[in-house]
Amino acid sequence: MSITLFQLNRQLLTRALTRTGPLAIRQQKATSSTVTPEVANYRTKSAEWVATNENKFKRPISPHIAIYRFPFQVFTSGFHRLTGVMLNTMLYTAGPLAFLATGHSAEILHYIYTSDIPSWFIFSVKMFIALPFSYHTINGIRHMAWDTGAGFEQYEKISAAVILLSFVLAAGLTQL
Amino acid sequence: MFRALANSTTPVGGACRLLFVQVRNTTAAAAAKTNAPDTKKPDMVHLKRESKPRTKTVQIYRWNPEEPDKKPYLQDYNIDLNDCGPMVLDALIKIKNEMDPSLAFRRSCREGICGSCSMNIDGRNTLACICKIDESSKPLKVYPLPHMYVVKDLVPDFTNFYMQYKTIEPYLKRKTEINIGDKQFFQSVEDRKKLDGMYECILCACCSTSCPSYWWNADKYLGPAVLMQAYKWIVDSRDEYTKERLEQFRDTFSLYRCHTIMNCTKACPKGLNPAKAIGELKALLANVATSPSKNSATVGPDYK
Repeated sequence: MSITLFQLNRQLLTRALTRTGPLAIRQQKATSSTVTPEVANYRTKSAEWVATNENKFKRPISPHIAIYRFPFQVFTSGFHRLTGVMLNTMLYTAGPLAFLATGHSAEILHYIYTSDIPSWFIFSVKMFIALPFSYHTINGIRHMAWDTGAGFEQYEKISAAVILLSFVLAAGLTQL
Repeated sequence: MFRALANSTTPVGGACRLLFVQVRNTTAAAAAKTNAPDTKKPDMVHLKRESKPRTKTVQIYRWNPEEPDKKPYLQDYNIDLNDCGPMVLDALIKIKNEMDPSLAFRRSCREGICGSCSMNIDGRNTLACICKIDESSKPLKVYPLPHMYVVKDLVPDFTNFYMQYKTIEPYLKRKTEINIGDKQFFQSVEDRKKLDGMYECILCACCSTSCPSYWWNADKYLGPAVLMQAYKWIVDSRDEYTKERLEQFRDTFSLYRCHTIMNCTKACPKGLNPAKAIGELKALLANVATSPSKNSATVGPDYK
């Protein structure tokens, strides 16, 4: 390999951040300076094309979500996005919650485990919290593999493995 | 000896072959007659049509540009499958010929190679000419390619798609000075194999219009079809503008709107894998994969 592992991590991290994270905003503002002339030219032409279609011809847009028969992989990809959002909200709510519970965590845990809440309910709530973590992490590894150009074949088998592993990992996490 | 005569190409041989065929046919007929009576003789003059017509309802998306204020609607047509070819395009042509001449759709080769008749059939993007009609009693739903401006009925506006294709400059570009017509651009067998799975693209746009990312950003994201062709030219060992072709994608939208949803590979009617090509493109841009090795015989100042 022509680059070190450190460089690889740095590049992957930068790219991961640039696509969705805090650096994305900076990238978008800098788009005009990094865009090649052909692309810039195309952007103006495509904007004109949209305007012509909408205003001059008043053409409708053909139906999409309503009629498309989505293959199974859209759910794996959509779930990845959904768990990402869930994780985000959990992250933001866990902070204030933890602040409220300082000093009382032993009390709260004692209350939960000695009350009459059935154990399967506690297990399912724990799974509900742990699954987004495990699914998003394992699917994230798969996305990173895709970014290196590997693993584009055998989508069904890899998806099945991902889902299975995420359940196993979540079940393991619930034991904590 | 008769066999040798029959095999010869002279008129005598021809006569021998004719004689042989007649002898064989009469003996076969005699044998058949004695073995079993032939009850179902095919009658070439009076072809018996099946008595029950197999009706199929076809629901087609319609919109007339001459009445732009009238909302698009689904129109039902009933066709007899006994009287129709097996493919959806056969059904559409039958409807246009016999029932509704105002139905508009693109078509040309009727064999899945030109890419004109790409449309959304039963929720999936395919070519109508190679999509078999499902014989079940469910109505057949035919829509234009998803999230495209509709010119009329099943005809989408491809202007943007072709503009995007132009931006990647899909032709060979070289820096070394050559006299055109002097030599061929030699390419090794391994280098030629790298183009397999990408040169077969017929630009039908089934993949790009199946991508939700392309639906929301068609004016900025290039789409799998165009990106796969860009990757094909990058990987082509005869092309010398690799670096410039790659640099074209260093912005937020042209390439990176792809979130590997993988609808494109599923939709391709020719069985190609655009998602893989885009993944390789991203890898090249991240400097994770090194640029594919060029055949040094055709690149560089020594090529004269």
